[in-house]
Amino acid sequence: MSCEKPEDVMPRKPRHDRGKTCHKCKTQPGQLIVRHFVYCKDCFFAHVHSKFRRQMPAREAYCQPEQEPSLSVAFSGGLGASVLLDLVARTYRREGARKPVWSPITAYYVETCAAYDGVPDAVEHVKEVVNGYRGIELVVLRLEDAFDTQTPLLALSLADERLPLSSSSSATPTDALRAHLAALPTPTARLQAISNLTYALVLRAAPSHAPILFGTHLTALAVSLISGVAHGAGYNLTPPARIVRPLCEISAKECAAYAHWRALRPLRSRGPPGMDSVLGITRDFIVRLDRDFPSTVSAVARTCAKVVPKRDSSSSAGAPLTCALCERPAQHGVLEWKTRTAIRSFSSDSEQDKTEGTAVAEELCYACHTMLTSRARVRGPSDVEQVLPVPSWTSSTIRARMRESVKDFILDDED
Amino acid sequence: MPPKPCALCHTERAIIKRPKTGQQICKDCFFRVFETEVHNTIVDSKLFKPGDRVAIGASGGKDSTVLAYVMKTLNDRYDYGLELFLLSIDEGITGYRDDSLETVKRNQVQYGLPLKILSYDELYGWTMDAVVAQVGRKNNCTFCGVFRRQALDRGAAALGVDHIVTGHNADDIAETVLMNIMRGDIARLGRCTLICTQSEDTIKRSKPFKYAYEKEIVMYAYFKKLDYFSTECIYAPDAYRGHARAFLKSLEAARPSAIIDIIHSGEAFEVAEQVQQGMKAQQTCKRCGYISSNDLCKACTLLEGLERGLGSLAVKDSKKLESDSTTAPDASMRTIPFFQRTPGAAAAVEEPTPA
Repeated sequence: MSCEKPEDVMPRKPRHDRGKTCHKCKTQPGQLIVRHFVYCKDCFFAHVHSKFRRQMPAREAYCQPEQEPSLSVAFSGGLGASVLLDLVARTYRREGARKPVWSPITAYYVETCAAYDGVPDAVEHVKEVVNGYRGIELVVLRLEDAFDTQTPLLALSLADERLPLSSSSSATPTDALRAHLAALPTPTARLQAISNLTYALVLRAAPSHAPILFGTHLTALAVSLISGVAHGAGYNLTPPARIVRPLCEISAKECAAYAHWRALRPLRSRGPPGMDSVLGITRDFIVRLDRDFPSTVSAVARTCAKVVPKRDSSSSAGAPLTCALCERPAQHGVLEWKTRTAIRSFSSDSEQDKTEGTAVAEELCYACHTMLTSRARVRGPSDVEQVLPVPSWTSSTIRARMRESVKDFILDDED
Repeated sequence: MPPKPCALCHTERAIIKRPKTGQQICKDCFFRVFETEVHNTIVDSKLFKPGDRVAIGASGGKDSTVLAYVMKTLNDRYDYGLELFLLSIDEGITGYRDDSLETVKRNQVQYGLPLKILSYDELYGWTMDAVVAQVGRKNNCTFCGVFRRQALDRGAAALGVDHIVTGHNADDIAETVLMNIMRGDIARLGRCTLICTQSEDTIKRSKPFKYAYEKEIVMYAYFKKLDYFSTECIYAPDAYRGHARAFLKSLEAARPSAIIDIIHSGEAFEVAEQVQQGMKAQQTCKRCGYISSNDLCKACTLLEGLERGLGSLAVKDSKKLESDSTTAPDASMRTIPFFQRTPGAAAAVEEPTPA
């Protein structure tokens, strides 16, 4: 049906992706279309650099007395991390720059090959990449470093959702890592654990006063936010202030173009594609949805930036809690919430409380508790009673909290 | 292989694997846990008080049929002291709604509850068949959702009820969380996991099945042999929600707890204060008196769009439509009657006739 006013034709929104010339400089031939805008190579690089610099934190916020502010870069070797490292080097380690803005700049790489079968060690490749940049140091960590078997490691019994303590018999850190991953009930949990361990290792290794840059581009950010929601980690959608994602406005396509033109050599993803995991399913879904609805990834990132953890005003809320496993903020009452929403037993509470030994469930965030206890639909061969060795920091935290709860009764603390 | 005993009573043979927990349990224990979880949800959230008049949004589908059955059961068992009604909305979808309404009429007799039916045709002058004929099948769910929400409130006000309960289940709420994030609807995201919502001029609305898995509702209806209408809306397949639904089903296949985990995530965050301050304040529609963020409520805007033959524009660019219209419509256009909420003023309802 017409609107009966044919002369009032609304002007079409101007499109910039039909021409062959760069829309910025208007002289060079266009080589890439980014969100309906045509760019030549030089203007594209300038566009990426500008977006990167806009997200970088102010140096002044991190100045220490008599010390230049340092910068940490979490370098996984992947596409986003490779682009990030290149941008950091070109911005802050330019030839002829007078005074370093950040000093030192340190890249932290966590080698994860011990978590997978048949995946080669990539440390030499990473050293070659980082050494190709002037003035950037490299610290290499290994995933199994999370399990320091010099001190006895604690373990959790996964048969009971209260996660009572048990003991670990792993002889070496690699054994402990493999036992940790083998005990997890689902492929989702294994990928989540690798990610948590990597994150915690980097945060512990980097100086606490320095910002840590992550190479999470816009697409990866949308995937991690949605998969975070699906894991039950809605309380931790906002990262701590020292975590900075300078590529959060740059899409995977732009990163790929940048990496191609700069001849970067990102590592392929380690391990199997994970299509049977929440992360793999989410990645596949977001990438496909973004093709039909191109503003999806930016809508997800923008929306999640507008939410904050809910304040707990209930009487059960105590002091702020940090998850003993992933070291992120945690809500109180995880087990109580799960018991209210899904009845698993008709026994009374007093009978349920008679778990032998200390139970660790209340020391974990919802996402970590679910990671350890949520079963797959089809029980696999390893889905039997399992004992899960925990990382060193988890063992220390649990011991410290146990000591805190009985400190008034200790006459002589030998530890 | 010997039969496995129920994981809850340890006596009877297990015949069901609970989708929510994976436990293998007997039929009676399944009924017990399902009903007890709904009862816990009602009690923990303090949804009702004795003497409340409660309208159950009834479509004839599995969720509302099971809801009506469970509400009646729990009301009798735990003596909530509620006066229950069935409230049904006829959207005017031939071959779908007319059939499901027959199911609601049977439910009325089976459960002995009074029934009121309100139709889009009598309220707005448009059936969904006519709406789809004009706007097509891409945005039709927007019309239906907006019109139904207002129709439920109007029907509840006519019944003089204090409370509306709907059969939205855990799957629906998890889908809505995902959808609102993907579409950037921060206002809805902030309230979609609330079990009970109420504004100044709308009737309290709750979702007792907030933590009940859709599969378990189907199981409950199957084993209780409840009478429900099981066909999906004929206009639904192209909705955006379908993407979120397919994604949710994939997540559930990988990890069955994903549904409840998404709801927990939705409950764990809230809209930042500076964002809330920027949101529009609620007011009332200048044309029909229903709650609104603008001078005209969404239902009036959509209806005007339909009347003027600009249905699609009303969905995509309601601001443009509003700026062209005034609060006084053309005399030839149908409008929504003025909404007056008069608690306690009960309208005529269809009482159940004994079988």
